[in-house]
Amino acid sequence: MRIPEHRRPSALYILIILAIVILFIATSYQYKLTDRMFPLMVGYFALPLLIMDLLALTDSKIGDNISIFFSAKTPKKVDEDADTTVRSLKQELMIFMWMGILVLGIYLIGFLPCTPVFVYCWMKYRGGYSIRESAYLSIGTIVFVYVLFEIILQYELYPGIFLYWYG
Amino acid sequence: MFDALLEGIVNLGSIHSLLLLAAGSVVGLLFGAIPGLGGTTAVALLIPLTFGMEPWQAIILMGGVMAATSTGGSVSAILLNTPGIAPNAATTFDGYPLAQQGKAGMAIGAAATASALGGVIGVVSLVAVIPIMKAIVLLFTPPEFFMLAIFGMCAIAVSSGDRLLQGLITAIIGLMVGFVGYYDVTSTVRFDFGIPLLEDGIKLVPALIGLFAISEMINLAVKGGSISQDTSDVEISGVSAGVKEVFKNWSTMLVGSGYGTFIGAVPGVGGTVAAFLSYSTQAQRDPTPEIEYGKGNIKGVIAPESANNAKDGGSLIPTLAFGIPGSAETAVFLGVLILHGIEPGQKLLEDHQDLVFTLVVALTVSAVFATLIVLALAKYMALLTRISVHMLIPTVTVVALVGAFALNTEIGDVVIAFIFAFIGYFMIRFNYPRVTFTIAIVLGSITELSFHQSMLIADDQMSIFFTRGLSLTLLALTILSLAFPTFRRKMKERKEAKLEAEQ
Repeated sequence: MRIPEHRRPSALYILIILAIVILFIATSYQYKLTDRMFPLMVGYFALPLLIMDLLALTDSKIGDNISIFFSAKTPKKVDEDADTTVRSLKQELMIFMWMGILVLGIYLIGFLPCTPVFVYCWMKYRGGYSIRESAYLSIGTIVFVYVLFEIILQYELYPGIFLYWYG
Repeated sequence: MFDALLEGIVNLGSIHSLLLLAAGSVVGLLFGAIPGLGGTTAVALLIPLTFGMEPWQAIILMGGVMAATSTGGSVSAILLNTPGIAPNAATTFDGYPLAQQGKAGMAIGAAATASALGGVIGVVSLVAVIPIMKAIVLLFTPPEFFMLAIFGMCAIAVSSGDRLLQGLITAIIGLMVGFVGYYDVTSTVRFDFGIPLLEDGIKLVPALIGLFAISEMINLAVKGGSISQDTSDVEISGVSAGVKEVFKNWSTMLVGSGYGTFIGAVPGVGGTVAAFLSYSTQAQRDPTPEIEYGKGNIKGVIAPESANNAKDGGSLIPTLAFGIPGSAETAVFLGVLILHGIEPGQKLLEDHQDLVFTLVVALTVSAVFATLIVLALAKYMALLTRISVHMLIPTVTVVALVGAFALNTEIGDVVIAFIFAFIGYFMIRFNYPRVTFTIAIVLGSITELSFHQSMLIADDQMSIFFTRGLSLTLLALTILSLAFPTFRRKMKERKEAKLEAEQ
């Protein structure tokens, strides 16, 4: 009973969920009976489902049976119907980094300076647009955000942790 | 009753009233279409404007907003795979694939028409049940609420087609997310792991923004290209074909509207559950579709859209009859009524029927008005799908994050949206349905609360769920829905074996 190479990322994903569920169950025991009763029921119900999901990825008779029972497809057919989009890990990490920098930027310097900078940089360096096109969209976005949220809706947009420090 | 209806029509007959309704509808459309804002925010923000108005004028303005938000939300759900408001999430499953196939105009035409008809049916149902309102809602006690929530989650997991196991797993994970934070039954903070951000629980709006809007932007960024997979062939006409599809599939629209009205009337459950249940029921009613659900079946747009607009009429049933809001939006609307000295309940139904019918007429006219606006502008809205992802990704991401922040003006909500964006992305990547996850988060607190209330009623005896007629019926429906895929497979195998034997 082994998991074929191409299904290993899915297996890793299931194992991460399994770890979270186990942590959840272990944490539940810290609480009083009334507080933990329903979460525990739910947690213990998840365990066999996750194990079955993991087994369905294996090259085995049991894997075939689970897959057919729940999806009416053999694991081979599941592979054939799977999303074939090529996703490189490098590309994914790059996108995560861009998004992470945006959120960190919002936290540090606030929405108003961060918005045009992020839009401009994305357009220019990821989209390959000209300086003028990138500038137009970044100005358009910040004007829209400012007019809608600050002026019309009168929300005070987060100014960033630095401005908070300086009152 | 007829006199009150006539008075409602007269109230709406002046130019001033129609302008108020139009303003409410436009605001509702805009707030519905921008992810993270929604009708609740719109109604709340317009409250100060109603201070100087007569009660019926305030009701017209709010009626306009409430009827138009889900119609507006369907536009962003179809074009951007980003539900404007939570009930539009089910529309993304088939609406977005249709947009990717260049049929955005058709999907918008169908969504807008189904929304208008669903809205009208919901309002007509509201009028019909006014005399028997109380008896209907009182049928649901905690065991029935619990069973309804379980049925909702299982039915939706089943509707994920060949991903039943993954659907059930994500439903459970969604429930776990719902357990995080303050539990008001026992006044305990659970599963916060000492993180202050988690003490109040995971807020739904930022989580949904991350799960649907930003995760899709991450996915688009990884994949590249444009929203429409074939940009040279994007179909921006076909709006009228979408309108025709609704009339061709009238039973789908009727069943969806029925779900919307009924579920909308159950306090707290609301339009999201109605839309998802309507979608999953449609998928089950149609076991051999021409186009698979989730891959651009127009009925997958009609079913949720008719339901989430019909729920407006339904959710007003408990609001007007008992002062129990059927949804967050109607809860804020309840505040408007009280602000204007109108107390919900039997008195309202007996002494102020004119106001009830003013609302009824306003909701009906606004549902049609919002649809006409969307139908008129659909061609231009469909052009959005031609935009390069590198223009969409930064703008949608930033606006979505501002929307996540704006509702509670807390920077922590931005972090929640960001975390859920990654959860959403990995769910897309490994083909785990986001829909069951979402619905479980929505239903998590109601499910646990109903469970505990049932246990208190029954002295910790689980038998309470199996000895009451309505609860037992809902349990039977849950089991049937889980057994349905196996039953369908067996029937298919039998049919194939029979065909083989005949050959």
